Formats: sequence, C-alpha cells, structure tokens
Amino acid sequence: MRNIGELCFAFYTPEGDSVAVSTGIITHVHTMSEAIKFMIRQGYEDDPGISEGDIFCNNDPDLGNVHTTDVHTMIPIFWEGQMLGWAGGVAHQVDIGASTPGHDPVATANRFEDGFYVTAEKIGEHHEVRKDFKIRAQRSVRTPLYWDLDEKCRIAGIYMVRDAVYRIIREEGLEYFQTFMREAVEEGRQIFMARIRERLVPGIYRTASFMDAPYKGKAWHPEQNHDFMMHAPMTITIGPDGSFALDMDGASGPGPFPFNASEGSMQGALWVQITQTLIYDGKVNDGSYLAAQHHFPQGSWCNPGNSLLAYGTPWAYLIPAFTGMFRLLSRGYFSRGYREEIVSGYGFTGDPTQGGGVLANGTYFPVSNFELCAVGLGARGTMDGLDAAYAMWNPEADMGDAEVWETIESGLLYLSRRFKPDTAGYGRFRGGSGWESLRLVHGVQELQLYSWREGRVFHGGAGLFGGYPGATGYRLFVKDTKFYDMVADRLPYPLGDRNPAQRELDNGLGGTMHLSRDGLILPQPFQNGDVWLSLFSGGPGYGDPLERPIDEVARDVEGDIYLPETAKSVFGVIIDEEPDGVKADPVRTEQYRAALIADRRARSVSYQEFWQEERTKVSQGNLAEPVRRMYRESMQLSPAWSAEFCRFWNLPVDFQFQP
Amino acid sequence: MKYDEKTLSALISGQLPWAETKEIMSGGKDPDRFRMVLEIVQSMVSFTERILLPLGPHLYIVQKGTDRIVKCDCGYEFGDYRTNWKFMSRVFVRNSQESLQELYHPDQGVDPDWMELREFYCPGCFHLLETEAVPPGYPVMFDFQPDLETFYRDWLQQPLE
Amino acid sequence: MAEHMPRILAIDAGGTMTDTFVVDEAGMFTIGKAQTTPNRESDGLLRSFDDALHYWDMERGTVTQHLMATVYSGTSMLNRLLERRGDGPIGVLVTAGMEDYFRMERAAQTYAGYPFSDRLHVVTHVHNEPLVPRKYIKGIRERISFFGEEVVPLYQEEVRDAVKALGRQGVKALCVSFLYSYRDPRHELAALEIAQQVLAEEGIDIPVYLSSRSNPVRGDLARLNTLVVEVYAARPSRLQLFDIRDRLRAEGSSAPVRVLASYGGTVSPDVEWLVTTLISGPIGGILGARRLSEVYHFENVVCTDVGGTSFDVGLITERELLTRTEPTVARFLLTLPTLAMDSIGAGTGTLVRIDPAVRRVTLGPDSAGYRLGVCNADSGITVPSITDCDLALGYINPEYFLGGEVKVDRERALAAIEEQIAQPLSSDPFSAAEGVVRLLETQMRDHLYGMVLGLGYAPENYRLFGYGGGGPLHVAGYTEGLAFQDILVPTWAAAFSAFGGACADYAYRYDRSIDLLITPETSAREMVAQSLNQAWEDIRNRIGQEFQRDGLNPAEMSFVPSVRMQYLGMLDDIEVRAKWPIDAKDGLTSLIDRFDELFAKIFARSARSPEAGYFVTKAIGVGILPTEKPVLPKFPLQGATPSINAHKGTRKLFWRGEWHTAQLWEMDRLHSGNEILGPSVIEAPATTFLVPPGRKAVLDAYRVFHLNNG
Repeated sequence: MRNIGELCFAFYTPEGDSVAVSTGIITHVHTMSEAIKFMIRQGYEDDPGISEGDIFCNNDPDLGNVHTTDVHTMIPIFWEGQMLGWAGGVAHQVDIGASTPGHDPVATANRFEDGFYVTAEKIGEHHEVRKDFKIRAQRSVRTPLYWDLDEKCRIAGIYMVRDAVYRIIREEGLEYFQTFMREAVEEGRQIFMARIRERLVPGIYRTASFMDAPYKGKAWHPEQNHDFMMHAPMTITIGPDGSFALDMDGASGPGPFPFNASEGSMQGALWVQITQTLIYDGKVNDGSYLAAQHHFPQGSWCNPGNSLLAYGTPWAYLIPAFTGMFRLLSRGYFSRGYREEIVSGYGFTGDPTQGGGVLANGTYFPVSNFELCAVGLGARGTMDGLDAAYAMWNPEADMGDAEVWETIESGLLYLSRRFKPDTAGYGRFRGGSGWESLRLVHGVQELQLYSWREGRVFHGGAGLFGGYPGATGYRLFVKDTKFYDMVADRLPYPLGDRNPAQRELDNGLGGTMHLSRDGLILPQPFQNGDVWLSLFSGGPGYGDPLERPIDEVARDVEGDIYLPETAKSVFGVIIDEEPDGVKADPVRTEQYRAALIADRRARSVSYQEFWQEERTKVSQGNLAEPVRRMYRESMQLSPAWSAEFCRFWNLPVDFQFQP
Repeated sequence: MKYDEKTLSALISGQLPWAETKEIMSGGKDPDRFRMVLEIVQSMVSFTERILLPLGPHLYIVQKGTDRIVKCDCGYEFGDYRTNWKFMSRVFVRNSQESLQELYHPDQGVDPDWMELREFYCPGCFHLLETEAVPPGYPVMFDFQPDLETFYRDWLQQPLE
Repeated sequence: MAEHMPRILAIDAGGTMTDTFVVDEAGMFTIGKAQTTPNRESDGLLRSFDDALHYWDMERGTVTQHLMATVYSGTSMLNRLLERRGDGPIGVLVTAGMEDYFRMERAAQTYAGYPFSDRLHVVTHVHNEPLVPRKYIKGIRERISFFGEEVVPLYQEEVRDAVKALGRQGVKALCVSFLYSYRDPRHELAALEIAQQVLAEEGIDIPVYLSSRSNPVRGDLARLNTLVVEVYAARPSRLQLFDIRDRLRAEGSSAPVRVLASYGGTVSPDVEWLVTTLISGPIGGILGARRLSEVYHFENVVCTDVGGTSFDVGLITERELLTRTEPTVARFLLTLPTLAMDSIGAGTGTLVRIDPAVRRVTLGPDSAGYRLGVCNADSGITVPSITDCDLALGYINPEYFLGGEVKVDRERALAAIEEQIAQPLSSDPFSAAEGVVRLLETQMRDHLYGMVLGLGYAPENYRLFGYGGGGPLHVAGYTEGLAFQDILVPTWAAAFSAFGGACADYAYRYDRSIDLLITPETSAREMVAQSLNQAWEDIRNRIGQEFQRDGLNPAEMSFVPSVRMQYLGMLDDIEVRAKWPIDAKDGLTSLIDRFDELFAKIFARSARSPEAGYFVTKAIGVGILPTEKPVLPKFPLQGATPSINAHKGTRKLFWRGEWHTAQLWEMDRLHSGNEILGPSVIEAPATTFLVPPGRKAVLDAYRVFHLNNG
C-alpha cells in the first residue's frame, strides 16, 4: 500500500500532541499536530462539529504542513462517547495540481499557484469521505488515480491506529491508556534531556547557511524577476539543565517564490534531525519536541505567517538551513570524546527532476523523480561520509531502481547513474560522494521538465574542522542532439559529465547545450533525443585535506571519487596512473604538500588585514545585489542581528545597506 | 560500558575497524569516555598544560597558569577561550574565480559575487582549522563557546581547577 | 532397538552445529548433532548422522542403503556471502553508464538488517564491500525500453572489447545484466553469443550467466545481485552438495539429495540456479509447522522460532503461506521468491546492557550467538546475555546444557548480571535478570502480535508453534496475555527446521515479470490471457527439463500456475493462484475475484482500489513431484500422571518476583497423555521447556506439548 515510502501515521492527544508515530517520514510527526490545534482554536467542536466518524483533511502549509503535496487525513477517536485523541496519516502526492506539474514546483509566486488547497476541512462523516469532496479533489490534480490510492491508504492506516487504541483500552482499561498518553510524552522529554547531558557540552553553538534563488531572467512573474539569497543563521544553546534551544533569529525574508517554509515544516525538520542523531533509540513523540525549544522568527522565510505566499517547495530553503545542525551537535560530541557520533553535515537532496509528458501513444506520465533521496552524507568523525545514500528528511533513504522509475517515467530513459567526481567535500575524512544520472528523452509527443538545486552558493555553510563543502550543482541539458545519428553509426554517445573540463557531452552530440551554474530551471519543453543531466550532491568534509592518508586519496582517484588533478590541487597527492592501477607517489606528495603549506603561509593574511578588507566591502556597500538584499532583510527583521552585525564590523548602529 | 584505551585511540585516529566502530555507535555510551579521551589526547600533544576541553583535531582549551586559552597541538596559543580563536588565526579568502578554481571546477564551485570561501589557518603550523562558506561581508562565526564552569561543576561533577 | 529402519535423512547445517533428523518408516525419529565443518561439510554431516543413529544403537554402514530421501538445508552459502569467502573474480557486463551498481547500491542496502534504532541513527549506515570490484565491471552501450523497444542497439564491438579485457584480467565467470532484459532478452542473448566467440578465440573456458535467463524479473539492482550471488556464493556450494551426495552414494544410498529452496520446495543440487537455496534454515520451520497444521487440520498458525541471534515469525493464514519476491538477504536486495518471515534481532544470545543516560535496559543489537554468554568461560564474552539471565533464574540446567556437552558456569553469569545490570538499576540480580527476560519476551510478543494484527486478525484466530533452540524456554513468556487458541511445542523443537525440510515437496519454481494491465477492454484482456498462458507454458517446459535432468518423469508433475498482481498504482503485489490455461473472460474474472478477496484479507478492505484496473506484475509456475515425507506416528494415550522414572528432582526458579520450587522432568521419558503442572522444567539434551507456575503442559499423541492454563 506504500507509494514511494512517503507515508507516516501518528496518534495525538485530544489537544493535538503526538504520542506515538509510525516509521516513514517522521518530519510529519508535528505537522498534523498544528492542524489539530488550529481546528480546536477555531471552535470546530461547534462548527462544523467534531463527532465520531468524521474525517478531516489538511494540506495548508500555513497550518503546520510542509507543502501542499503532503496531504493529511485525520479522524477523532472516541471511546464510549468520550474523545480520546486523534489519528492522523500523511502521504506525499506525486502531483497536487499546482500551476506546473510535479511535487516541488519552482515557477510559482503565490498561494494561488500552489495547487489544490484543503484547509482543515471536514471531508467526511460516518467513516466515509464525501463524494463531492472526492470529485473535487480528483478533478483538482493531474494524477487522480494516485490521489485516490493515497487517500484510501491514509484512511486505512488511521483506522488501524484507531483499532490499536481500542485494543489497548480493552486490554488495559481507559485509565491506563490516558495515563500512558501523558507519561509517554513526559518520558520522551526526560530521555531527550538526559541524552543531551550525556553527550554534549553546555554552551553556545553557532553557524549559518545560505541558498540561492536566482530568478532574474527566468521568472514568469515580474515580482519574481530578481536574484534572491536565503540566510539561515543557527544558534543552539545547551543550558545547564540539559535544555536545548535552537534559534534562527536573523533569518532573511520570505518572497514571491515557493521556497517559503511554514513554522510547521521547520519544526518537522528539527524533529527529523534530532531523531537521526540524539534520540534515535528513544521514544519518538512530542516529548522531545517539548524539550527542544525553538525560535523561527515571525515574518522571516522560515515562519512567514502569511497564507498568501507560495509554499510549494520549502525544502529548497529548509534543507540547507538545517545542515549546520549536525555540525553543531558534532562539536559537542567531539569535545565529549564521542567521535563516532560526528557528522559534518549533509549533501543537498536537490535536483528533483520534475514535470510531465505525453507518450507517443497519448498516455500522460508524471515526472516526479525521487532518486535524489540518496545524496552524500557529510564526513563522519571516524570515517568518510556515506556515498550516495542519505536524505535529511528520511533516514531510510532509497534511490530506487532505474527500471522502476522508467516504469512510471517511460519517456525519460537512463543513459547512466554513476558517481560524479569531485562532489565529495574535501577533508581528512571526505564527505560522501554525490552522483549523476543522464536521461534521454525518448518516445514522447511532448514533455516539460524543470528542477532546482543550489548553484551559486555552497548550501551548507562549510565543512567541519577544516573540511570543505561539497561541490555545488549546475544545470546542463542538450537539445536538438545528434543522439540517434550517433547510435546509427555506433558512435560512443556521452554517458554523463564526469569531468567538466573535458566534457563528454561536447564530443559529437551536437545540438544546443544549456549550461548554467544556476541549478534552478523553470519548466521547459523537451523533445525526443534531448538529454538531461541530474546532479546529486556530495556531503561536506572533516579536517584538513592535507592530512588525508595518501593511500585513501589514491583509492578515491581509482574509484572516480576525485579526478587526479583534484588529488593534487586539493590533497597535495601526486598520482601516477599505471596500467595495473592508480598509485600515489609518497616522496613527491610529501614535497608537494610542504609546498602547499608554504603557499598557505605566503598567501594568508593576518586576521586584522582580512577584517579591514571585508569591512570596506560592507561599509561601501560593495556587494552584489542579492547579498545586499539578504542583509537588508535580516537586519530589518531582527534588530538584534542587525546590532551584532554593526558591532562586528564597527559600523554605526543605524547602518543600512542601500537597495 | 567501557572501552579500553587502545580501542579509543584507534577510534580517534580513524583506524578502528568498521565492525568495532559500529558496535560503539550502536551501543550505549560509556560515561568514562570524556576522561579517557582527555588522557589520550593529553598524551598526544607535546605541551604540558592540562587540557580542559578538546575543540577540534588540533585545538584544545588548556589551563595555562590562571588563564584558560585555546592552544594548537603545534604549540601556538590563541588566547582566552572566550574570545573567538579565529581572531588570532591567519586567513585566506577565496573570493575570486581564480582562487576558487584551484579547488572546484567553475561549474561546481560558487559565484564569488554571492559567496566566498574563508580558510582559517593556525599561524604556527598552518594546518587548516576551519572553513567558512559565507557571502562577502558576513561576520566571522564564533563556532562554539562552551560553558566550561557548568560543564565541569554540574555535569562532570569535577573541579575545573 | 533394531526395529528402526531409517527412511529419511534431513539435515540442517547451521553455522556452528549440524542437526540431523532421521525418520523411520513408522515416523519415529532420532536427532543428531555435530560441529559443522565448513571446509568439507560432509564430514560434520556424517558425524551428526552417526550421533543420531547412536540413540538407536545403529551404525551408518548398515542403514544408509535404506534411505529414501535426503533433504539438506543450511547456512553455508549465506555465510560464504556474509563472510565474503566467495568465488571470483567475476566479470560483469552491464548497460553502459551503470557500472557503479555495487558501489552506489541502493541506499536501502546501507541499513538493511538494522534494528529500528540504527535505521534512524544515520552515522551507522554503510555500503557493502562490493562483491565485484569496479575494475571487473564493463559498461556496454545498448538500451531496451520499458516497452521492450530497442532504443539503442547492442554495441557489439564494446562487448568484444569488454569480454577480451575481462578474460585477460582472469575472471572465472561472466555475468550479463542489461536494463529491461527481462522484457526483451535479445541484447543479453547477443552478448552471450559474442562472449562465447571471444572466449573461444582467447582459449578461455569460463561460464557466462544471463540475468534474463536466471531471473527475468523487474528490478535492475536486485536482479544483478542475485545473478552475481549465484556465481559468488552458490557455485562453491554446489561442489559441497555434490560431495555430500557422492559420500552418501558411496555408503550405499540411492536416495536423491535434495536442497531446500527459499520458496519452500526442494531441488536437486544440479538445479540451474542454486541461489534459490540461499535462505533455507528458517524456511524449514515454517514448512514443519505447515505439515503439523495439516495433521491437526489447523487453518491459521503462527510459527515462532527462537534462535541464538534472532526471533523469526512466519504466518500461515487460511492455510496460505505468503511469499515475498524481493527479500533483503545479507544486506543485498535479491529477486528470490521467499516464504515471508519477519525477524527481530532478539534471541537467547542477545547481549544486555544498561543505558547510563536514562538507566534503561537495552537489548542487543549484538548477540553472543553460539558463544552463549558470560557463563561460557571460554567464550570471551564479558557482557551478559539472555542465556546468562535464564541460567541465573534457574530456568536452565547448568549440568545439562546440550546434554551436558557444554559446561556453563552459573556463578560467572550471576556475577556479571550483578555488576553490570543489577547495581546500575539499584536492584538485586534476580529481579534484574527477570526484568531483562520480560523485556525480551515483551519485544517478541509485540513483534508477533503486530504481525497478526497487521493482517487484520487477532490471536484468538490463531494457534502458535514455538520451536528453535530457545522457543520452548520462552514461549510461555512471549505468549503471555495473548489469547491464542493453543500453544504447541513439539518434542523435536530443537531440530524442527530439519524436520520441516524433510516435509518439503520436490518442487521447482520460476517467476517472470510481465507487467500487464487488466482493464474492462476485451483486447487488453485477450492480451493478458495470451501472455500469461505463454509465460506459464515456457515455465512449465523449463521445469520439465529440470526434472528430466534429475532423471524423473516430468509427465508426473503437477503444475501450479499463479500470478502476482496489484491494483494499478500501488506498489505491493500479492500472489494469487490461477488456472492454466486461462481465458480472457471468466478465467480472468475469477482471478480478479480471488485477488480482491485475498487483498482484503491481507490489507485493509477499505484500501481496495479496483477502479483504475488490475496490474499483473508476474507470471509464476511451480512444478511438483511427489516424494517421501515423514509420517507422524500416533502414540496411545497414557494417564495424566507421568511415570516416576521421568522425574529428575527439583530446582529453584525465579518467576514473577518470587522463588518457586520447580519439578524437573526428562522429556524422553514422558508419555503421550502425561500432564505436567507448572512450575516445571522439562529437559532434553537439545532443549529445555519451561512450564511456569499456573500453567500446564499436556503431551499429545503426536508427542507435541500443548501449553495450557493450569
């Protein structure tokens, strides 16, 4: 009954606090909680009423959801007339009827393009979904079949939750059950605080991350036609009692794009990260949520509080925003000696190839690829990061089989899926490697594709302890190619973009190449013979790359994780490619590494000199437009951040960037 | 739960075999770890000042007389731990196409108008201690300000002195 | 005791011990045990056989010639895979661009087999060491589409070059797996032809394997994995099986040696794809339970197997066993039809620790396995295990562990429990040990309860079998509070898997992906029916050839056709029996009806979704030939009171916070009809059955205990 594994079920108290959660996307543990609380605040008990057999639905990000493609179904559970709580289920749709096909739109600028909206709506009574709602829903999306299946699946699941609750009450009694509900949440809270005292060090941990939204020249809407930059500062304060407080004060503003993230989605992300590193073995419920205080500033991109904005793709901002969290906790693990828990961040689960097309036989097919959910994990504190197998929002990542994706996306054929050299963040321990896939458009009448990823910035802020961030993405596709001619002549057609300095795609394929450092691309038409490259991110590194053992660098080169020239320029390792394999030359490596250290000595400047130079850029406003805009937004939204900024650069307190 | 010094030394140096590393990851934590790792890293550095808290592969907060300072394993001293050690470091900023290109192909690196890559070196040994990938003009980050007193007094229940 | 005439020899060769289960004409059995000898498995097997026979005062030389059937199941192939001791190097040809299969895997393989906590705990995720290093994998330009269209023809020169290069690199076998070759094998067949030519030119004699031949099913990584495991792990096992067959033949046996396959049938060691026998041990238990269910006329049965490292549960519902087609084995996704079992890492060897942060008991995930625990002074284990707790609580007889062959030290176990568990919990060692055992049993209980509920049933609908080395000891605990209709413990619980293997049919099974949509449209229905009939005919012929090779008459086989299908758009297909040949009208309609009914049984009825149509994913055929199976002897019932010579004395045991004086009984000396009141411990050389206070065990005519409320 699964669909892409994007399913989660949970049980909530009558007030909407989660008590127990299934596996799946546990980002959603808290999202349904907000919708329940909204219904209570709005007086749903009187109008439209909350009775046994009622079915409610929500996908409004302004009420706690992540994006409209995550649809929640909730039922109140009653026992002998008394309301016990709520069961909720969430499933991710392949399409939600947004202005462009797909699940993570990029072209949208406001709510009215986000697709089908259901705002905490009663959609059924007497345990049946109303027919008029079914009709409306199925006519509001491009893939009515999947809507129907997913709705059935959510409902079947929540009734299983309800039956489980009934069983516990029958076996253990109502009183036991109600006590259990409270205690489960309290136990979750206790475990969380004990864990923090066990593994971290009290103090203040800080980082920041960024993301580009380069819409200028691409946008379909005039108000969107700018380059935007996201700022996500993150401070985690571990208090003397083991309390945990995460603060994003200073975050930049929302905008006319779908990357705005509701507070609920941020809470969900905090959640899913905590369960991957601190309380993976504890009880997963709102107890930990209660113990983890958080502040997502009102009016910023991460809590806009504005229902008119577009929220279709909050992941584009949210994923980079949380990369720092692993790194911050890792500093604590390091200080405590728990090196095995360290992770320096993660790769960007970006570049979701999306769109839709019509096959030669007239059948519509959605393109809603999820192979991106297998990117590189950051380097660990005792070993390299995990290659091509991590997704921050689902610890049970899986890229899926090519043959399974093509069953759905039958007009986009795989020409490759392979490691992409130089994507793994450099370091003593390297980040997990990224990879690429090249797709051939074939057998279609029409097709449109789009995607997004970071391109002008490193999304994660940095590596850890001198490790470097993984490579950025870029956009590459070729139209009007000579692919079929090459095949007819048995010429070696390209299989990807292994080394951008010597492009296979330049070699005989012809056609028109679209190449841009911007990962963002709005929907574009494609035709048979075109090729489309997807790039999946690597994770950041850990430690100084000049300290990486030379044999490991040689192995990286042999395995196409790094190009030989990168081994030299970054790791200082001189590689000889011999017929029986790749060898590192220890003597020349030692000399070269010494030369690189000498370079560092010669090229670096004192901190004061660096500070002066940066300050000049700031004080003169000599910064690119999107950067200025970002600073301006952050300073307007947070006087505290503004004051700290001015203090750091020794600027007047009323300093402002000009537009 | 307790691991011997040999195991922990291997863990720290990244040489512990996977099966054993996995066991440590999946098992409960050994409360004694902080003390044991402190002893191991103290034996690895050439200076004699007592290490109070490891901050990174090369950096430690140490007790020097009545001061608590950040010190590199090469011996370089960065000053009071409550001040960002980066203020005492040597800095190299990659904010041009040319310097970025030494590390990343232009397609796979950043746009220097949007972001620069800062490298903070130890002025003693020129090891790369931290990187920052931030837009130009971004304040230097103070990565971690530990609350040493609370940590020792309340969490470890040991004297800091 | 010369009245026994051994007819069936069933072998379960585990990683440490090889169990043999020997059955005579009347169904009487004897159990033997010996150390497994991985380098030459037949050595351990024959010793175990001798051990079994010595209980009957018989010699191998005089009985082997009377054997009618020999069934082997074992873990050696799996261990070879787990320990990376397989054959190689193997050369692999894949579709160009896909050469990183084994290094990128699918992320699902990086946490496969992990407990839930580690699946969340991402730092623990790692890739498998590739079975085939990258340098032995060559990409070939070609593409067949999902629809079977040739989009890119096979680049023949690339095949030539790749085969030549691999041959010179010294590969011992070649595997070919191209995208969508299950849909249209022409590129793989062409590659085979070229490869054979090139190898002949190069004077190299190595076999070439095709994924479209072994396993024409969808799922490129799993299909390739399965093909490579065949060469890597199964091929070496074949030689071991031949050796076993040869030695038994030399002893005078004319019985064919058959191997238990994961789908529940047995096959000849000559079978084309031996990888189907990769998972056999736990399968045997389910088959044994099915055999007993037939005898007792049970409809719904829960099969529970408590081993040293895992607790395996399988369900028989309305006499049906569920089959999965893409199991994860040894952290590899494989395309192997396998009887559905769900395991958790909780067994008698599970290690016990206290989480210092929250002062809670944590179980596992690691296990002492065959090393038992701290009680085994030679084991090197320092962390207490469940066995240590069982010993401390008086459940296990320290003098009679494995019939006294293994010395265990209760004092060592107690000391470790005291220091590592009781003190941190501020408890006494007995309460602490009991708390641990309760926690383990609760986890087991939740696991099997969840499985029953997951099918929309309740324990009241089922009977439960408890077996495996630790089953009889813990079954009372892990069923507590669950209202099963009956709880059954066979006296041969310790060799139940071997017994189950002996109950398996002689059967070959093949699956083929067909991916066809059944809509109301007549032409679509015609096409589905035609394709199914064609697929079944091909499969039937192929199975016929297998039997022919085994020297048997294919005309005598019964052929069971089935399909896997799902509602269009869903991802989980289920297996439905079919009739062959099928027609496009009533035939398909009744197939759909059976599917609807089965779906509602397995999943929630409300999730049924016939509107968009039915998707037939696979055609499946099983060919069965009758074979010798154990009969279950029926013994006359005697009185409820056991004979005095079965009584072995008393021992103190700790149960629910109190000390009790338990009566001790020798299992072999109990008779059908005897009733044993708890607190009692019934001991046999290979197993210990705990009857707690307030419970009663009744031995029935088939020498199976029924655990009731006293």
